[in-house]
Amino acid sequence: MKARHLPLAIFTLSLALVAPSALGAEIQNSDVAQQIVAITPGTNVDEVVSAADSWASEQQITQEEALEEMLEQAQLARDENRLASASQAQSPFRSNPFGAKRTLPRSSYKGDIYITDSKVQPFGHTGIFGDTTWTVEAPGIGEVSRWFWHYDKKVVAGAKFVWFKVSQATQNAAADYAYANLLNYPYNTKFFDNKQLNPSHLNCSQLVWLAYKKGAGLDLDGNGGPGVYPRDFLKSSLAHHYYTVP
Amino acid sequence: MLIKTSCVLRTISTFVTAGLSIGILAGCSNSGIQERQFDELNTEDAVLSVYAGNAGAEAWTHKGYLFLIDANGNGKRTSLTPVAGARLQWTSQGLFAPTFSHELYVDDSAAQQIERSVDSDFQVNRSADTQTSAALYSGRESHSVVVTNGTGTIIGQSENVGLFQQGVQCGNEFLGIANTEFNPHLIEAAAEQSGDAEASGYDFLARLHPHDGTTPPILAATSEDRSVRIGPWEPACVDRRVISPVFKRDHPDASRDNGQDPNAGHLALQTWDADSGERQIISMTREDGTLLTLSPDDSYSNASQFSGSTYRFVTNTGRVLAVEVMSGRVIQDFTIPLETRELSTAAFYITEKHCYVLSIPSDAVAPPSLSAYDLDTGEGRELMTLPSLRSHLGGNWMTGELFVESIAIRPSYDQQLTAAETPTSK
Repeated sequence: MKARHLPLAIFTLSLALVAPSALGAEIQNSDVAQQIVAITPGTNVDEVVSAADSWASEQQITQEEALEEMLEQAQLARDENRLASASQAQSPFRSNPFGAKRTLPRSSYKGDIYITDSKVQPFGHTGIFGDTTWTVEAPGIGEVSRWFWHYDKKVVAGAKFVWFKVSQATQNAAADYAYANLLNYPYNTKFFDNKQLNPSHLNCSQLVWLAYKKGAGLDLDGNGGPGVYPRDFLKSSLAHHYYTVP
Repeated sequence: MLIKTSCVLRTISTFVTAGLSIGILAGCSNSGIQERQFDELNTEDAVLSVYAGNAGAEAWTHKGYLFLIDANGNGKRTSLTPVAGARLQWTSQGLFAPTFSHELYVDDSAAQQIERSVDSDFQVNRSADTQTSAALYSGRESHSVVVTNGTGTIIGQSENVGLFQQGVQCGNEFLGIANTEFNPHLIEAAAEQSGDAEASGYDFLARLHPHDGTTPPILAATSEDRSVRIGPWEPACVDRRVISPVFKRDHPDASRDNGQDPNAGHLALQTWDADSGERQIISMTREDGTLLTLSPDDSYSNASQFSGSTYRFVTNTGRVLAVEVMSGRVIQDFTIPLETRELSTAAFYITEKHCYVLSIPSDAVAPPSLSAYDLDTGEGRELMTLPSLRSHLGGNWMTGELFVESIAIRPSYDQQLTAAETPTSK
């Protein structure tokens, strides 16, 4: 072997000795990240891996464990939405497979939230009532967070109204925080990593979570983890589901 | 050979599937309503305009139409990027409508679209006088007032940082009713205007257009009345006096803690005099002096009309009310028979003499219909059925169904209807 080939030989040998385990783990992690991306439209593997690294560092766990947790949360949120939306009423329009839509009713009190299933949004949708006749919410991809009269929002049969077992002043504080601080944010597609306290983008459950977190000091994510999804609020010990849209 | 045949079949199958998909995506063709480019539109034969879309859905699925329909229920449609809460306004000059990025203006000879400097998929309000149409939009950074004139030209625009949920055109101004609860950044200005520095909050009347900068000047303010809740109602303006229904709560401090019902209360008229600064809350009462209570289902109205000293409006459930503004006395109260709103939709338009309703039945084969109700007698009659409109509202697999945001009636058609109803003297 000529001397000039020696570095290449050493490199090849080191790859052969070291690569299988590291490469295998990387491929496996990449596969998990791909699965998360497939569930979460508008995201990419780099974003998933970056979020997993942050969560792993914060929780003192491995990247692999972080990715598994993120995947588990996303799959659960997707499956719960699918299960619920499968039972929606039929639309009067034959060409429309999305189920019938209802006008969002008023809430009983300020600061209540609603959670609706969706066949378009993979995890369903949620918003917080700024008062009893209007909401603050992040509508979806391509839109900024904003307020809506309740009658401008359509939900599917089975949409749930929820209040939290805290004082009205606490609910008011969360609602006040939402319309005073959380309007006009671009949409955040990354549900798997949406619990930053100073975000530049917001998605629907992130907005509701942040309103209560920063406005009232409450963490209403019922199952923890790096992401908060609409139905996670139902799992909070403070949540009380009081009305279902017929 | 077998492989080749299989490939050919698969190719044919792919094309057929693609063709069907395109057909489904495009929506079924309908002979009664023809698709047109926007710049091919005019209102020459139209008597009814319908704005439909799915602006409440995700932006990437947005789809909307502006329909122009003749007296036989046929007509034209053009595609647009829809705006939630879009209001049509049809004056003697022409028809005004919004899209995400443009103001639309159509008259008997042509159509124009003028790009706004601010995009918005949410229109809070629109009002018009004989010369102009002014719209209030909720945009990315602020609430924008955009004023368009009768030649389809944008003649003014103002930006307003804050939360403004009611507004109305008053002459050359666009005035908004708001409070400092939802606009805490304006509390000092409101306190100064009210002359009462001690109040914990203020209700106020602001000029949302015209003004410089992004802070609307406060024209009048008073200490907050926490029993009064601004709601989704259309204000009117008469001689710089802004008039709007409000919900007056029995329990302003209602909470789950005390068990009081926040939705218990009655309707009232709130009036603001932009010149004197006086604000009045006048409860709506029946003939016998009892307060006018409404069910939560009657919670909003996007069709109203002011004439003489009477404010008329129709709730989303079809309840038509006429209220004498000075006294708050209800002088007319009737209900348009509608299907339950759960699976049907209805859109209303009020003129001086009539309340028009476009009904979309929940029955998939029943055609939508346009009816007119006499505001004095409550008597109604069907003007036309619109079987061709039905399929256009079904949307497709991507958009979901489309909802009628608003309708408008050609003013001369309303006048003809009135003339036809008026008994001729012998």
